Amino acid sequence: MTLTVFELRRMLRNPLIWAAAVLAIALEGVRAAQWWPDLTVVTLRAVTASTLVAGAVLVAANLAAGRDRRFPETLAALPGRAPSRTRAVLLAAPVVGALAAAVVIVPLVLYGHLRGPAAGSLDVWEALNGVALAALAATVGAALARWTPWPFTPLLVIFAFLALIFVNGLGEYGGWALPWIPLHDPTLGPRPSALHLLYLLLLAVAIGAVALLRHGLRLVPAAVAAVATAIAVPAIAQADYLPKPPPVACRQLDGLSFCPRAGYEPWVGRWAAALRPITSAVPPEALADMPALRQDTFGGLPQVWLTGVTEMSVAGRVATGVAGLEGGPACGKAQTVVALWLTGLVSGLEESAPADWTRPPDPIEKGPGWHEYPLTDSGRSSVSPGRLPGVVYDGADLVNARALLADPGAAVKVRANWAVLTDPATTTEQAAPLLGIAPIGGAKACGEAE
Amino acid sequence: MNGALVVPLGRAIDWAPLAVAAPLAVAGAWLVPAEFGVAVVRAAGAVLASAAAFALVDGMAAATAATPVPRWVRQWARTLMASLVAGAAWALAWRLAGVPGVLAGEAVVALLLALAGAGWAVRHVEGRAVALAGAVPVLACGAGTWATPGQGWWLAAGPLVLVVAVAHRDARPVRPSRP
Repeated sequence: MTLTVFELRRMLRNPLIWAAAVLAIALEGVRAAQWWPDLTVVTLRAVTASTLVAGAVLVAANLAAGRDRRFPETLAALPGRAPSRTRAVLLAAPVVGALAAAVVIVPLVLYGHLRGPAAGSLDVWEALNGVALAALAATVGAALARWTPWPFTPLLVIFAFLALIFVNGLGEYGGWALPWIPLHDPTLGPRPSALHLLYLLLLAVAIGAVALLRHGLRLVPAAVAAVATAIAVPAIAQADYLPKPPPVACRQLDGLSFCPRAGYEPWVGRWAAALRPITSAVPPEALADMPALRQDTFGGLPQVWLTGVTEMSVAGRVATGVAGLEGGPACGKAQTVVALWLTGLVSGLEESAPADWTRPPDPIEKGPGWHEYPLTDSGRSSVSPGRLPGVVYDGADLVNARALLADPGAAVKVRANWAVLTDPATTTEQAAPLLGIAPIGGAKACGEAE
Repeated sequence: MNGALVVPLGRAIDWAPLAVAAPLAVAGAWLVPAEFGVAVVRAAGAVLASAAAFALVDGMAAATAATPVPRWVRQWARTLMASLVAGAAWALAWRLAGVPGVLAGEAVVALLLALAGAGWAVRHVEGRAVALAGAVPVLACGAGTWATPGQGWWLAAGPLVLVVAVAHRDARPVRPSRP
């Protein structure tokens, strides 16, 4: 017991663990600030961030349990023997690990909650998964110190875990038997977080017992390891996503119809606010034919919202619909310029923005003007300012739209001449006097790279 | 540097971490589907860097202080030998995965971070386990910047070489103290 208290105090002062906790909070806090808070995702991200602490705890527990092998001469004189030292680390390290993980997870979840209006729901079992992961890491560290007295093995375990997170983020291989699935596809339904928590705790107990088994085949640790494994394996084998919540009704706001997924109702006001530059610039009848914006893959509204990037995609979708563009080549039409101008009201039309036919950037280096656009927690696409889905326009249209954007009185002119400007037969040349711009024409045929 | 230095140091270095990490990195790059090539090569850079850091541990540091070869020469010789092995393994993994060369800067920085961390740690603490300090800056940087590979990493390489050089400098003044 004295030894346990000693290990506990020693580990509570471990700078590695607390440095990892500070780093995890700082990195995830800065990252989270760019996203609209979705408590489901916030909790998952906080737990993923806390695995940095779990890694530090794994190394700390490994060093603590292996201490008597590194400095055998100084410990030989002590009354306690190796099994009691292992037991002390096994009791102390998981407690400190769980505490440090909680120190990371609680403020990150609170931050998401307080930034409101937060979508999704807070799953306490999910948050406790992070606490259990740190405790599990502690027992793994101790077991590794006893079975593989070699300081590189904890690093290998940490890197293997990282590889699982990055390559297998949705748990494609291994499913719920993995220690952690960092990404979540909300279309699959809520995660079996309580069952997974039980699994992690049983795994921690089993691995702790395995660490003690290094000191000889004793009945108690062997029985504990066997029972914990016997419960954990069948339990996790039948884990599956929980039933999905029923869909919720669409809501009308600012003349647009928003259809959120269950739990995302708090975002309807934010969506409408993000699109208000468009809805307030166009006459009300223009919004009448606009199809409802649905929060699914092809419905216009993504599952997540990255400030500064998601606006581009959603604005392009709404502008295309409001201006009545059908898709296909639309170079030199007044309609196209108006639609581009509308997207510019929301997200600007930066100079590097490419016209639509430009190939999206390669996965490593984004091209100029392209932004990585998150569709879900895991799915990625690319977007550029002014992108009108399915519509082909050229650099000249972008230049004309920027000229319109520079005019503070543009909204009045567009509103007054809405019917003419959005007639598919009106060209930019014809509309130039109405818009008050000096238009330029495209150098090449529509859809051909310049 | 000649054979009289390289051979004994080559035998003194703890090659076991690199002997595990190098086949893992190469096998990973070879076996994993192409869509994960970038992730595997980046992870390989971090693993190999952390493994190379173990080469800096001099188990006989107390005794080798008396050798005619200064500490900084011995540490740089260890650094170069480990870097060559880690670099060769990374290059092979990169080749097998068939991913863009832009990842090289990041891998070099990971290696330098690991060497700086471990180089600093072995100055102050004895024992094999202190080489774990090499992985700390690698993991800390990796946690913050995973999503942004690119050429910018090369900018960090110069200062990091200086940090490594500072860590490798002689442990005590060469000039004998006055009687």
